[in-house]
Amino acid sequence: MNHWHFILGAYGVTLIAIVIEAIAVRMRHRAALAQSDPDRTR
Amino acid sequence: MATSWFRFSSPSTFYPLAGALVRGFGVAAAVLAAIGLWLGFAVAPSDVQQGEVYRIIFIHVPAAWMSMFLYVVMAFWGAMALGLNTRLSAMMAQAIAPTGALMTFIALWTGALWGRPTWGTYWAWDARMTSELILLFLFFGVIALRQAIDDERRADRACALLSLVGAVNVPIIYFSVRWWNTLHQGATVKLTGSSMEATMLTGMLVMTLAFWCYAIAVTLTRARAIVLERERGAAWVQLAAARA
Repeated sequence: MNHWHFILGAYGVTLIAIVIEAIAVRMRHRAALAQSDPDRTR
Repeated sequence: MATSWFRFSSPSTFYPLAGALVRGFGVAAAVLAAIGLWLGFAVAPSDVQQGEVYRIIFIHVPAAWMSMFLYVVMAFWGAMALGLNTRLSAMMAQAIAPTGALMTFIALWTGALWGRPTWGTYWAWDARMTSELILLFLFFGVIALRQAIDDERRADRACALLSLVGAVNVPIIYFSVRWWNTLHQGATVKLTGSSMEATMLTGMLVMTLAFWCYAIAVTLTRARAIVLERERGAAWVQLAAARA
């Protein structure tokens, strides 16, 4: 009993979720930096 | 001269410390995950009953452990915020919630995909699965409650209270397989030892460390963003932003 599609589904969704979170949190930090920069042109 | 660690309880000193730690924990997470996945797929043997599908264990169990651990840590920082009235404690609790929710979702998703071929069903309303689902709702509730309250300090207190009340769910999740007749198997990893095959156990523990390092890296990055957002008017924030 191998069921590789279940294994791929588990690992695939996990990887996608982790990558999305990592990218989102970096983007949030960069946005916060940009908002706080006194030299930022509006 | 003795160093007081309490100086890092100020957002302005915590911010650079967190920045220095993020890269290290991120690299550690990647390396540990590579080792753990190699152990899980190349070294650990097939299971005599489940074949290859048991290998979902190498993300399911670490994610489940992290979901419970992150909730407890979030509740701890909430208690610190309530008791000591420190802004940074509340910011840490705020930073942990989304990652805790993600770990809980991963535990539920991988559990469902493991359950279908082994138990014949994606889901059952047994004690462990239901209490883990409640944990996900608790994380969502903490996130939603913060969004619903405009005043940041009131939001901190409300979220801290909700986190502490919901903390009773964590021992329920853990002991559910002992207290009730559940579909979910009992604990195979205990403080007194494990009934798992050594390579399987090692792979699972290495992946747990990988998830832990990842959670720390992501939580610290989110905490840095939250510190900048909430301390926007401070001179040190403008200086840090200008230097970045």
